[in-house]
Amino acid sequence: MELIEQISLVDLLLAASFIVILTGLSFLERLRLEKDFLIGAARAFAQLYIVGGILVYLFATRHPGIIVLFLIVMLAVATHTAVARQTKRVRNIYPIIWFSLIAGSGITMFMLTEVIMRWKPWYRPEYLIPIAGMIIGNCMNGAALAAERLTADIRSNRQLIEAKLALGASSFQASRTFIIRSIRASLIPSINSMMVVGIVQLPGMMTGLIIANQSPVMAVRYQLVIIYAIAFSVGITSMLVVYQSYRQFFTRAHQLIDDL
Amino acid sequence: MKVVVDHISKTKQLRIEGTDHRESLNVLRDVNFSVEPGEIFTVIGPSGSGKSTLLRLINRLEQPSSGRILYDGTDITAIDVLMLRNKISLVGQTPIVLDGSVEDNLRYPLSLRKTPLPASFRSTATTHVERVGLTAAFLPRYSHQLSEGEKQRLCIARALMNEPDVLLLDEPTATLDPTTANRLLLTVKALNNALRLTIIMVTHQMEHAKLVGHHTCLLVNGTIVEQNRTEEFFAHPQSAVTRSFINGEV
Repeated sequence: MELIEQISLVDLLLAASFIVILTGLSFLERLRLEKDFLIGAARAFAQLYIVGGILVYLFATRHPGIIVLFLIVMLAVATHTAVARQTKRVRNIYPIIWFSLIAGSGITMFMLTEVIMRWKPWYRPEYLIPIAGMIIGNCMNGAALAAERLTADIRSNRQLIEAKLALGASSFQASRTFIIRSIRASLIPSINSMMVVGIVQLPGMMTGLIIANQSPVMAVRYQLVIIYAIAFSVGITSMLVVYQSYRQFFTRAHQLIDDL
Repeated sequence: MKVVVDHISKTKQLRIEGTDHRESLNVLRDVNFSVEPGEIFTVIGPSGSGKSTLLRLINRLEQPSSGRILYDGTDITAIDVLMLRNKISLVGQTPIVLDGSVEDNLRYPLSLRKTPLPASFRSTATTHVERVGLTAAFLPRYSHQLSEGEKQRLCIARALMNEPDVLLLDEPTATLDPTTANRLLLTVKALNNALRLTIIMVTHQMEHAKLVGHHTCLLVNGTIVEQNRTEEFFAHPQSAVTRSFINGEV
């Protein structure tokens, strides 16, 4: 495989001039975004360099324990981010999202490593880490969307839910409409991205493979595997989040709790 | 079936918005009464006296802090809660109709069961809509387009689909104009007569209690002040508070 075109530090500095020009325009147009541009650019620089350093280390050690530990850290950060996005938190939301992310992304990664891609060994970091990152990131968004939607819907439909309970509906039957809506809401981004992929823009992984001189056909196959895997993992994760979360709003006697 | 409310108290923890602070509120204090099978028992009292909470406790939408409620001699906590809510149906103050037609609404309570919809569903639905003063022509109508009075009637008919023994009505006339309210109260009376249905109705309007209630009790600040046969209750009130309430001073 040919090496891709190298980017020198000077090239990188030249690229940073995009941000410098944008900051200048912001100043001239009084957008008041100068600080945000500079902090954003600096954070992107620092975060990516740190991750780059970690990846260099992971690729060099190739130790399964350390790679799994890195995945656990990714899952923990994703859990925290998904919980932090909730405006009103459900009881036990941390363990619910933690478990759902592990299960949703874990099942998907297992299928990818053992059934579909069959990398040898399964923990090959140059494959496992970026693909797990994409899967976990999308699951995180799905989990956050699903939990947020369910909480908002149940809080604003208290009377409707209680009217159903009073007619003999179980807590599941009374919240079923909102369970379905939440799962659908979390899956819409994945469905939308499948609908427009390749038409509006080339997705990241495919672009990366093409730049790395892989054949576009192979790049397409990789991208399809990822898109399907993301849709599956988001579906599983959001279903697990919603099916565990709705119970938190009810007592065992199918009563809606007071303090939603 | 007889309903006995036995030394019921309910304390709620009210959240102070924007803080972690909570305030205790005694909504009901040592409430006692019994409702005989086939009678209409009205609970009157000013707003915030705990009337709605009382009905929610009987339907087990809430749990009492102490005391017990007996249904046909059995503590309601010993009965499967979903079964209990079929037998003791609550119709709330604001009529909540479900999306879809009137018929869809009437099908809902039966769709919750694991058994298939009975072949007699349509005739039962027609009987119940007619009982509450609507007609079979309402069945295909979109439920959200009904008037408030029609929605309230639909909610009662929907509760009847479960064939309850006890109907709990929480201010059923609250959202209705006086003429529609009176018609609905006559419907309540007719249901009680036709089905020997035990009805516990909460209202803050004395006239409504007078019109339909066999027995009436006055609930003020979560405490029962007085209870008696309705005629006696209004003709010879024993308590000074009851007299004040009847005179519109509470």
